[in-house]
Amino acid sequence: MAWMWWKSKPDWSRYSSQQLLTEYLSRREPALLSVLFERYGDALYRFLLRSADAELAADISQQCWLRVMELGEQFAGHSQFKTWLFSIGRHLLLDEFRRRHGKDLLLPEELVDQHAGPEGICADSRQTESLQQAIAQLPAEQREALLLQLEEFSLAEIAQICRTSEETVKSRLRYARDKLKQQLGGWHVGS
Amino acid sequence: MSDPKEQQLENQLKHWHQQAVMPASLRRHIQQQLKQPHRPSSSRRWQQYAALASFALALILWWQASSLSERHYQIVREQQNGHLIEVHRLEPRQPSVNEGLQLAYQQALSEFTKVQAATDAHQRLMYWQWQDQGVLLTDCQDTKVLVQQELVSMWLQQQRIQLADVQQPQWVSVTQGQQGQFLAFASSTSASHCKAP
Repeated sequence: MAWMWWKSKPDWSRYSSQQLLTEYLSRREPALLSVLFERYGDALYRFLLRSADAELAADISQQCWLRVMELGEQFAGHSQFKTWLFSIGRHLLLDEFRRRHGKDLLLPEELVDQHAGPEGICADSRQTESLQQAIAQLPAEQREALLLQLEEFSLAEIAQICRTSEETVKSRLRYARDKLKQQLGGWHVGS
Repeated sequence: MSDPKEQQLENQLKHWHQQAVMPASLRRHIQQQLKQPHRPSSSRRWQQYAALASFALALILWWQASSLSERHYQIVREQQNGHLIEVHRLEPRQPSVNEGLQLAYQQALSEFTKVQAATDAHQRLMYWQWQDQGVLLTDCQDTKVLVQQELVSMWLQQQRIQLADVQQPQWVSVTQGQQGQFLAFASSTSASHCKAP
């Protein structure tokens, strides 16, 4: 009998994210949400950690998944689940920035060196440190677009998350990469 | 992406980005949270309570409005302390009561000025005294009429009379319709032909 029950359990890992969310909303089975968390939890945390400090990134990560539990019905299916998830994360992050600092995103000097530590990046590498500082010096919108692109979002999806146009995203990314190449030219040539 | 510098930047960016790893403690904590039974958020609960309260309020207001509109003017004669007394009050509408008469009463009440001008209305001098249940009106023949407080309040409101102006016992001129219902009253000083009770 136990064997029959085991056999009847679907293999959730084969389901699309949208299907998993739909199933979760009808069944409220935590295992379904866990699959989504395993798929996107790290990516979301990475984006948050690169945009804020470790404590806030952890806090927003938790809030984000609670929102998915509570507001899952609001997911209209007009975008990918991951895009919707990151939109929630970005929205919560901006709210927190406004509450704490009275502005939308952290200034470059506030991001420099804040990721040092065992759970941040490896500071041993001079190149990595230079890269991090160069990214931190980017204007907030350009940095945000770059981080989302690193998470393999398309231009359209980045535009959707940042609530702007694709052209604006494209421009932000071009400026960001040009600046990084300029600033990191020294070690690029030397490496 | 054919530019070697571009490719090198891309590799460095990916390497840098992948170095951010979620702490195991945070992963466990979130996994635990996701296993909790789903509950509506406090803000959603508050919204639900607010919606429920609004609905309840709307229901009460609707009930009050409908119950007021469903009341009619009623005149009954009762024995009180061995004295026959006429009681005027607003009562919930009863299906068995003559609908036409009730309608006439309600129209007469709401269109006071029209009714006052009509020939079937007549005036009567009465002595006004407040009692626990309402106002006791006594005429020169010692006929007593008790008017329910709710009805008095309605008159005061319709005629824009302040409660303070009618607190003291006094003579009033009462306008009555053909069915005996009181339509309105006005302060009067001409009570020389009979004594105050």
